[in-house]
Amino acid sequence: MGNILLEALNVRDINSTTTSSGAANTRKVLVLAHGFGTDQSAWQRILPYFTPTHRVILYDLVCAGSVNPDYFDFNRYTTLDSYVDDLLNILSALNVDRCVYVGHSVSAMIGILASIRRPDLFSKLVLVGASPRFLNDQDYHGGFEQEEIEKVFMAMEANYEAWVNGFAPLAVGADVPAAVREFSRTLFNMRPDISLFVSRTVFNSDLRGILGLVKVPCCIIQTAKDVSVPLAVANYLKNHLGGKNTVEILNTEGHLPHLSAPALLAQVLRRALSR
Amino acid sequence: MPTPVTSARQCLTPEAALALDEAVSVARRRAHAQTMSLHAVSALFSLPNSSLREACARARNSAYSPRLQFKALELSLSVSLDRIPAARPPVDEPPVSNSLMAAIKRSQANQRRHPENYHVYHQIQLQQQQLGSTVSCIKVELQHLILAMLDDPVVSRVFGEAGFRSCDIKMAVIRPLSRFIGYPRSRAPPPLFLSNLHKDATFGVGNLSYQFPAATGLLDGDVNHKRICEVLVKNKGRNPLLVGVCAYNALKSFTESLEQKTRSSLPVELSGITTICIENEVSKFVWKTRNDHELLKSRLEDIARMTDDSGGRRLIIDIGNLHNLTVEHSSVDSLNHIILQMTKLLAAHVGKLWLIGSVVSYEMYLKFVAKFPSIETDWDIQLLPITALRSSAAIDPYSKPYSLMESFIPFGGFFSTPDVKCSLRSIHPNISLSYQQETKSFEEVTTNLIGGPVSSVAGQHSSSLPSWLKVAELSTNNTSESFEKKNNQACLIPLVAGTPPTSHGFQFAEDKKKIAEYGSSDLTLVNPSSSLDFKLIPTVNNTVPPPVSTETNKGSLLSKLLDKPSMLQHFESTSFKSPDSKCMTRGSFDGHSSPSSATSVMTTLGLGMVSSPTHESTLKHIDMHFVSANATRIFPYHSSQQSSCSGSNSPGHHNYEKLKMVFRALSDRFPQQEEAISHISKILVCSRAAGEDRQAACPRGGIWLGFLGPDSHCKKKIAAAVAEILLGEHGNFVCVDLSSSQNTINGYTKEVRGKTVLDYIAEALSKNPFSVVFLENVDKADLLVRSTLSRATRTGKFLDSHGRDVSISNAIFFAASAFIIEDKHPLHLKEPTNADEMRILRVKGHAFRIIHGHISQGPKIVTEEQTPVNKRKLASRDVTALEKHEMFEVAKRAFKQASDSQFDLNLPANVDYDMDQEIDCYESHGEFHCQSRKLWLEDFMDSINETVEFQPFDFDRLADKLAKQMTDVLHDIVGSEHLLEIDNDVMDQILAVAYTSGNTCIVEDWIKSVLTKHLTEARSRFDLSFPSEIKLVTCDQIYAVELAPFLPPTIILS
Repeated sequence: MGNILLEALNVRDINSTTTSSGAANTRKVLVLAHGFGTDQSAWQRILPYFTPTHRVILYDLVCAGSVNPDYFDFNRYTTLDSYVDDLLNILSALNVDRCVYVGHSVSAMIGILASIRRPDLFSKLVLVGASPRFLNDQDYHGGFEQEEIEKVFMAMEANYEAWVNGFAPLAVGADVPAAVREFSRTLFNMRPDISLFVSRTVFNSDLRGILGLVKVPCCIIQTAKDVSVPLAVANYLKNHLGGKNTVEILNTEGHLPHLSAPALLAQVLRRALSR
Repeated sequence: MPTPVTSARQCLTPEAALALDEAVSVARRRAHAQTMSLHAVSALFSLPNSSLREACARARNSAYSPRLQFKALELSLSVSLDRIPAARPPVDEPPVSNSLMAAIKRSQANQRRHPENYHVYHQIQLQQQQLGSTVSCIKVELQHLILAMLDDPVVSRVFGEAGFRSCDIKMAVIRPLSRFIGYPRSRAPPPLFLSNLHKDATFGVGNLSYQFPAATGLLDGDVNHKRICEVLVKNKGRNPLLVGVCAYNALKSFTESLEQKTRSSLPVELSGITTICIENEVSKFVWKTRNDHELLKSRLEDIARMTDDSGGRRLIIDIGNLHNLTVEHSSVDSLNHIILQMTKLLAAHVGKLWLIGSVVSYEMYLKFVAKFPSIETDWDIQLLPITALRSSAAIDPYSKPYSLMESFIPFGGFFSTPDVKCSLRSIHPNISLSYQQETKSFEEVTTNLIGGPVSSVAGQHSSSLPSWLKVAELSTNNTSESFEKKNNQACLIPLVAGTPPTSHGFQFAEDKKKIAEYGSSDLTLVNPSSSLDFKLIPTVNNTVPPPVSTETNKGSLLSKLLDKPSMLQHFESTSFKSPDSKCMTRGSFDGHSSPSSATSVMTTLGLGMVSSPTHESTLKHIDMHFVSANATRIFPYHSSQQSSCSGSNSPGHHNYEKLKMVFRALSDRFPQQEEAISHISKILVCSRAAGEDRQAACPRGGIWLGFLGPDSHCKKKIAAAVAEILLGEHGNFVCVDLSSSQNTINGYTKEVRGKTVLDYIAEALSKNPFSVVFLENVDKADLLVRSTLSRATRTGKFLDSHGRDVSISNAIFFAASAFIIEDKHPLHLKEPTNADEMRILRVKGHAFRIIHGHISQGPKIVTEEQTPVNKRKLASRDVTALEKHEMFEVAKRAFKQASDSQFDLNLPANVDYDMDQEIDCYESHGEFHCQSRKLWLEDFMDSINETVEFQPFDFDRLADKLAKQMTDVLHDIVGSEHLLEIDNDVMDQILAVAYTSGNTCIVEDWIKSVLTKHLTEARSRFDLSFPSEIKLVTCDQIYAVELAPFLPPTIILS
């Protein structure tokens, strides 16, 4: 049962206890969860910084382009909770009893929800480019207006390829062509209907009310300029998450620092992990 | 044993056989003994409309131009072909090699597993059985043959050398599949799928069973509803309280759906359940008068009666938004009473009565709990986070399918043309079995699943089905006829229903799996180098020269020179260094100033070298020894080199001319590090000289030098100066700070973003191989950089983060670290102790201010020269928070080490728990890095050409000198009875300027101009009739604090 899931979501378990010597058993578990539009390969330039010291678990969200689209059940993945189910099932299938979870974008949301359900499982959450709600609301600036988003969705439907080509440089920051290319690739790998459906799900989510339920310490990592997440959101998270929280602002721009500034992010991650 | 071509041909389709013939002719032309996969690849490329070439074109790396990459492929292929030995007597028809035959066999097996062709082989087998033939002959198609050949390591290496990855090519070969799709269906009966039935069916169920371990509720497929139901059927915490901004909506949609579909498939425990909403009553009660109190009470009594009376009736009390109960209420008592009443009610009817509510945020819930502390257990509340703004019905997954289809169908080749059957099958494996032959077995399966006694299984099953099928199922009389009808209909619907075709036209389990495998192998292939990088590199210490061999050759002088103390002696005996001035040597060098007079030395800085003939000769003398000594040290294996270096023949002479030049130019600028400079210059000159002579003798590329010890600023400047001197205009100086506290490369400027430090260096090196690379804080480098550096010193290959190799043979690397050499053989380092320097480097720029005060009559008698210095020294003890932290860490480490080795009675025994924890935590993270940092640095420094030790910059001496100058100025201007007190911060700032500029002239000029001017002004401003104290302090408020230390052009008087 678990194996089907592990296989389906391309779970990679690096330095797992079974493959290493006895000394590796004590390694801390680090889960790297990618965000919307990428797959686990987004972490490949972060990964080398942690493989010598950690047991690292990587997986693809079911919506990722690298996952067989047949696994994406449109009736099931209507809310983030189903993604949380996947995450928790993966961790239990791998017999992880405690881990540090690094989640980017939508995976940060998933991590928050997972830590509410299973606080014992997470020793720390690292939320990269996280937002409890992307839409604006009264007294809350999420960065997007409903009308804008509808336009985006229309654009996605009309011509996915064109939308990808326009969106990727915007999200990454146009000055890093390699990262833009990489993000475009993974974004384009997603089947357009799934991509649209997932973004609807994400924009349809609002975690603001439940942030207080999180008791796990969180490290909120945010770049100085992020088209998807305004800076104020990091502070909002810090003030509303229920655990001990820290905010790290990366002196770079873009929604995907693991692609555009991996070394910088790795340093901050390492610092966050050592605290 | 090679296989004859004819028998190999029997296994191939005409198309593939043609390719084999081509391959054979290639092999024959090259007079090779066997036809191998390489020949086949070569042949395939030459074929018209080569599918392999086309696949390569699509799989190629976009980083290179297509022409270039194909050229590279051609080259690498022909090189590999050239390597194959020729047959002694040329063979007319080179037989098929084992590896190629194996590839054919593999593809045969692969095709046999391919159910699409199942019927074909089945028929063939039948025929063969009829004919009595025993040879199982499956004709291998060209595509399968290509795929199998790509697995051949020889072939994939050829592709790899040209920058292709065979997995990419495989994907490209598989992907179009146009041939595949059209072929069997047009002229063959529909394929058999029995072989897949079992797998698919179990997959469907297994897939679901992990999704919802307790999937009981099923309402519209809404996940929220399911989760609410999950809570309701629990034994403990059975009353859900939905938390979230959108919780209220979710609550309403849940109650609505309950009302509408009470007969639908709720979990057994909840069947026939109804809701009663008391939200209005509660809100009226809270906001209004006593009458409403009665209303709510009676309502609750109603509920109690209802549950009691009808026995079987089950109710969910919907209290709506909890917000109502958190507001301040006048009659607290009555509110408490209501709460109590509800508690009793709930407790009395477990299993019959539930409570449901919503709250907008957790904070609000906390307020509620604060008001009624025991409410969570009393009401048996389970918090349920709700995150989706609207119910899923609002997002219709099948909305606007046409526009979507249009948008992605034209992505040439990526998605198959929407074939009704295959797309349907691939999306819902269970339905896919709707082919005529399969209907019967399918019915069995489905009736087992749906009509079985366990309703939850039915629920699980149907949740994976699209809604249109679910409708059919819910109508319960799913006889085989109706189901068949539905299925037939289903075959026509997918376009309308919007179940889109998948990327793979003819999908079946094995193929999917294969793709998944390719996908994953692709991933691992992407970063093989980086993952390899991370194995800790064992020490390869091939640079420590065998010192013995030199002794016999070169005599005692040389061997003496080899170790440092004796070299120092030599220096001192030749009066290069005056014994009483340690940091300052320029004076003695120039030979025209007394050692103690630092002033004159500093003022001559930058004026160029004035060397007297005597020194010239001494220098020359020493040069010679340097050169010879050095030659034996660095290139101990080339004794001929030694003699040429040390002798006075022309190359050697040339060398020490050069050396002298370098040495002079450097020591001219950095007088305080003369010893280090002499060391550096001799290494550089000799390495370069040696480098010109031999090319491959040394496995390492480039020149690597370690700069150890304090005085980081000087190191950097020396590196820059070396670049300038040795490389001139064509050279390139790359300066990189590897410490993690810094933002790696000059603070992540635009052109640096997206690159790692390694990429930055590699790019600089590839642009200009004649570079001097200065690696600051090399000990603080991250693991990736470390391993790359270690590898570079070992192998001479510098790899960037993409694994690309950059030549470093013409580069000079300076690896700087603040660690201090404790022991040279073997190299042992210790933690840096340059607190002074670190403090000075952290100084920020402030404005200065002159304050006037009278000397308090009393015990405070100060001698002016000592005052500032002593205070400064005190100040250096007054460490900043950061240093404190560092010290604490050092202390902890010390403690750790002590406790590791043995119990130390001198240490306080009552180390509290916190401290222990800190250490634990430190051990798990920091300690590892710190220890590994040091060990790695020792290893690394050991492995590189040479290490140079730097002396600490004598800040105290400089401070003394400058303080004296300033006091002198004061005395000159206002009179000697007055005292000048220089604030520590002011002195630090002045020192910082002097240090970073490497030039005290600036400071002295500043004293002469700015300070003199303002002191003169102060003389007229202040009452200086009494002996008074003139204070020079910093002020933060008036000027904005600038980042770099500077000398303020004006001083504020107050």
